[in-house]
Amino acid sequence: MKESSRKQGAASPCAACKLLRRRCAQDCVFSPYFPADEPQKFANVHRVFGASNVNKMLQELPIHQRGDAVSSMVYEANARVRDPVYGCVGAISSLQQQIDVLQAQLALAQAEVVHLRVRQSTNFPGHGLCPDSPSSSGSPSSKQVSPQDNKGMFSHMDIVDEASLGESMWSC
Amino acid sequence: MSREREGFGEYYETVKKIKKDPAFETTTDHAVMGIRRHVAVPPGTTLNTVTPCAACKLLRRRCAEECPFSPYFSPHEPHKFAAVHKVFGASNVSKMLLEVGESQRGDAANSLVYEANLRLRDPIYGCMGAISALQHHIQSLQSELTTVRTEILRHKYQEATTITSLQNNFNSTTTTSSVSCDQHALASAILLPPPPPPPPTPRPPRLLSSQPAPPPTPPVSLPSPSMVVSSSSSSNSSATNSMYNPPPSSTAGYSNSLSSDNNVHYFD
Repeated sequence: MKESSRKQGAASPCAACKLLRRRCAQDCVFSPYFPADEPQKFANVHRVFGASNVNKMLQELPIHQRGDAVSSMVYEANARVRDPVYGCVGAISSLQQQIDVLQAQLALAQAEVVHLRVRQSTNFPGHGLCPDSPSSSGSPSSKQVSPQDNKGMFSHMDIVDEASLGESMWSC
Repeated sequence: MSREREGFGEYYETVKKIKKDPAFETTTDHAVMGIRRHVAVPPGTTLNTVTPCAACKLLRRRCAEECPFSPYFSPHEPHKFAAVHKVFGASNVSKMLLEVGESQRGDAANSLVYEANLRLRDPIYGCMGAISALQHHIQSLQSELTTVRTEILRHKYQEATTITSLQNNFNSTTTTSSVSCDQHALASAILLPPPPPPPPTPRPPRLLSSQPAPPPTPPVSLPSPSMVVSSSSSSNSSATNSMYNPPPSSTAGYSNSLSSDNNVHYFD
């Protein structure tokens, strides 16, 4: 009796064998991924995929990838239980809609950047004309750019002004 | 559908009668069996109408009138049920379809087919892999959108800076009163040239026209600078309005990005 109690303690069944009410062997496929303290985890997977199908799918995979496979199956089973009509497809559809919205916004923003660039390139030559005109007017008045020459430019401008006044008198 | 069921039922009854016939049991010729079966098909019915659904065909069982699979798994698309059967199992699919209202079973069947195909394509990650890829795509798009919006703001800042510098230059020219007439003419020439493409050609005639204009009307020279100032202020105000229009749209964009962030977080 002591020996049987020890064996029973050592051979605590996993969540899968507990639900299916069968003996949990040492080489049980489910035991590494469905511990006894997470019964709902296996219950949902069993409800959606079926224990035999899960067993087959896990057997087909190398051992180092079974953990990820179980995680994804648990995720999908929970989604299916939560939404019996659309399951994971509902989440996928929602994400695809978000992508459509973001792509539309991105297209609008990129179009605006192109518009702003064109407008600025149009304004830059206009901005460049401002310094060009005084330099062009300065060049005929004097060849050098020293401050004394600037004063000469000033006096020359006055002379030009008087000349224009004279012309207007002549025209009258 | 019921007509199809009746035809199929009659066919089965005929087969039963043939099997009960003692001559059939002793006969071992397969050709004879084939001929008899062909003859036994009721007249007027085509092979298509007595075909079981994809599920019953795969499971090799009788397709009853109340078969839960037949409305959703056509015999012309056997691969659909094959995928679902392998991943979920026929009994589980039947249960899941019956749990849902009749009007939604079509969508449920389609989503199960979709998920089964994803699981078969990627036995490790299944739907979760597709969801993860979509989430990465969303993050990538959001990052690119942020970059483009930052560039938009930079362009607008540069444009505002240019307008401010132009305004400052105009104010400095206006304050100088010693040669206000000449500089006023120069300022007007500077402002006007941007619209026309050929700047060198119209400059001489404008200068000639501007020279005689001020002398004959000396009293009008006082209001002309104020008019120019008002026009520049109006242009500045219009520029300001155009600058202020975009901010609300960008704010809306940011709120959208926040909401999408929430969605991403929810699915994570």
